[in-house]
Amino acid sequence: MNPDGSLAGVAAFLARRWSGCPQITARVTSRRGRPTKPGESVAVVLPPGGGLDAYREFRVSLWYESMRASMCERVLSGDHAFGAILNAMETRRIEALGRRVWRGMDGEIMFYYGRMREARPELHEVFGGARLVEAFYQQFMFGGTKGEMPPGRQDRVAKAASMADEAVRTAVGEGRGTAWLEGAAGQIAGVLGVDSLLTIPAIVPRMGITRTAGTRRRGGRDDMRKDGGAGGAPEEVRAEYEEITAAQKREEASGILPAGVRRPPEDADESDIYDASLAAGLRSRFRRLRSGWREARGPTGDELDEESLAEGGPPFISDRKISIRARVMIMLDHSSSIAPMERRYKKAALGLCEVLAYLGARFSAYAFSSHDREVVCWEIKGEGAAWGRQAARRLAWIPASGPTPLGEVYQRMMPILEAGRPDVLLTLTDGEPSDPGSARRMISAVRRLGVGTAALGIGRGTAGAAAVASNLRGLGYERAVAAGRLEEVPARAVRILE
Amino acid sequence: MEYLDWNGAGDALGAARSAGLFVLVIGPKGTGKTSLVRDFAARTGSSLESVNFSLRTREGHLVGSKTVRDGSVEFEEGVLPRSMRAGGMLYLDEMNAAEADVLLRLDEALDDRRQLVLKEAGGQTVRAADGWFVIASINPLSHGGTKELPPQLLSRFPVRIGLEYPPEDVEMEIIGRHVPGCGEEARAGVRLANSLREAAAAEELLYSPSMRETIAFARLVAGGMRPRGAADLVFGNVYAQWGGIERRKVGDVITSVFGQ
Repeated sequence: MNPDGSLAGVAAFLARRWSGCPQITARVTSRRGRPTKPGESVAVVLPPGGGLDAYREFRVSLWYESMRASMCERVLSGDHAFGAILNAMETRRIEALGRRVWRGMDGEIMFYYGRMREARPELHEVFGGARLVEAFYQQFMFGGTKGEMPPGRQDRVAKAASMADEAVRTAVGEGRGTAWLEGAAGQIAGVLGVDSLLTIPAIVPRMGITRTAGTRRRGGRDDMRKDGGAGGAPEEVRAEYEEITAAQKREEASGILPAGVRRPPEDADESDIYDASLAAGLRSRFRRLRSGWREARGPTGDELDEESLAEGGPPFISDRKISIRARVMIMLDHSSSIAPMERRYKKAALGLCEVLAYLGARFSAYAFSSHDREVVCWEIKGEGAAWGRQAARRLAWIPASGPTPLGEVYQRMMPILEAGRPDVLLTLTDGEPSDPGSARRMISAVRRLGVGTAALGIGRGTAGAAAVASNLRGLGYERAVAAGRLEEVPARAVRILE
Repeated sequence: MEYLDWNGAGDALGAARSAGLFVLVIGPKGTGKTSLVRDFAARTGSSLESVNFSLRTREGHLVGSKTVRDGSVEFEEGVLPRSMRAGGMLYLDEMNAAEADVLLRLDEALDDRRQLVLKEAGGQTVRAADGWFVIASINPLSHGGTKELPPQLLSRFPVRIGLEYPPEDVEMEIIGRHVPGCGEEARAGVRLANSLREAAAAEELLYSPSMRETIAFARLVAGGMRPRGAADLVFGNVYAQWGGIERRKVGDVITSVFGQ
């Protein structure tokens, strides 16, 4: 299971429902990064190892982070003693409040506690003052510690855990929030005898669940067993896991790419090219394409229209859903002439893909540029894959460089065009090809495959755009239109496909 | 069943009628638009004619059509001239589901002259009786099959009432009128529905559960069904039509409310 695609979509949906914050984003990562930001984002680490149990753990930690995002005033990093103590208390506070509404989470929270406890280190593996903080965490969260402490220290840990229990109970009962618990966290650090700013090393999660020797339990909470272990997964969660896994397999099964076509790395920041207002405007503008129906008249249909029949018109009426039915392949020009406007160009391309995904259109997206003095076609999104962050990151990574050898580009894409036979190949370009003769021949070859060819020319201003479109028409595209401003590109492209 | 006028929409209808103004009620399905109109007609003792618009609504359905009776061709008046002559209430339900040419015919009757020329019946003119009162309802454009109303028609309805889903306590009171004695499980159902409505409003889901569904859920639970099973039947399974992932993610929210 990877943190992108379907999993990211489901995580964002659940985080919004659980937190009640409709705009919140979910950041699913494989490594710990920035913590959850209340009201804005939840951050969840995908546990290592994979499998159903890892998914269950992920799901419950997503629930906790969603509760944190909606109920905490701020979330501190746990890499210092004060933050670690406060976070532990906040976890219990939001858990108590969240369980009042999300009662169905109880069984999975028990399972989660089992996983959490197994992931904690033995106390002898932690050194210095951090051992006291770890002992406090284990005592407070699980009612016992993994390993022994000297008696004097053990008493301090027990007293601190008891104070934290009381503080959380009061906070829940009296409706106190993060600021109030911060006062208690300072006192607890004092009882433990540790500096609030003491560095706490990151816990490396252990793989798998094994019964750990030396676990000593004291005063476990009655309302929830902490020896959870991996009980049977709820059927719904199991089905959800299987559905996501199957979807991710489909997303990844785009096959081996032919020579000259590569997948860009996914380590670029897609937020840099994401224009939320452009995407929202496009969704609003083309909403009718997603939800609309129109009446079509013809020689056959669902209902006889007597009036039309009497007037000699087509006698039957049927309802047709308005949608983009064509299977579309988009080819983005990323030659060096794009470089001065690269960010805006990518924003427009991203907007186009966003709106096509919103409209449920079946599309694939590629780009071409030069890499190591060689023309490369980059796969941003294969036809079977879902549009999402993964694809957006690929688009963000592609450098704008090199000439515009459209003939060579189509040549490299030929195996994919022959195999997939999209209905339309839509090329977005800002200039003339560097190999016009070859481009003309290849456009004819693409048309002979039964693939419609369309081009959207991007020029500076109306006159520039018209000149580009005229050149493109001369190359033999069946349809060539132009956009004078980059912001018009997505809407123009949708109009072509409509 | 008495209508619970929780947001004063009934009073707004009364004021509009007294002022001789037509009313447009805007709101998602299942928010009680039709119940509001029916209740108002019953309370004011008005006769009520209704048209439920769809893509297939024709001019003939509104103004009438020719028919053969006893060997001769006659014009049978439709609901629009009939209601105008009677001077009662006319309810145009889901008006923005109809085609523009049908709506333009309505426009003729709704302007200040309040008259309709029946070209289908020899050009006779129908004038609305005093007190003729028209209420139309439309669903938001995010609903399937809806279209933007032509601006000239929109201006015929200068009073616009927005009807949203009611707050949780009010919805519980409404459900209580349909299913007496429903308890906390029904409230959990309302919360679940609100969460799904929020997702639909943000276009994360393609369907938004209405009050009909929260009432249906409460009925099933009151009839002895386990809440989890009832929630699957009423709220969850409908999303399967948009694929497995859609169904499962809603199923997950149901699980986190009602458990396994």
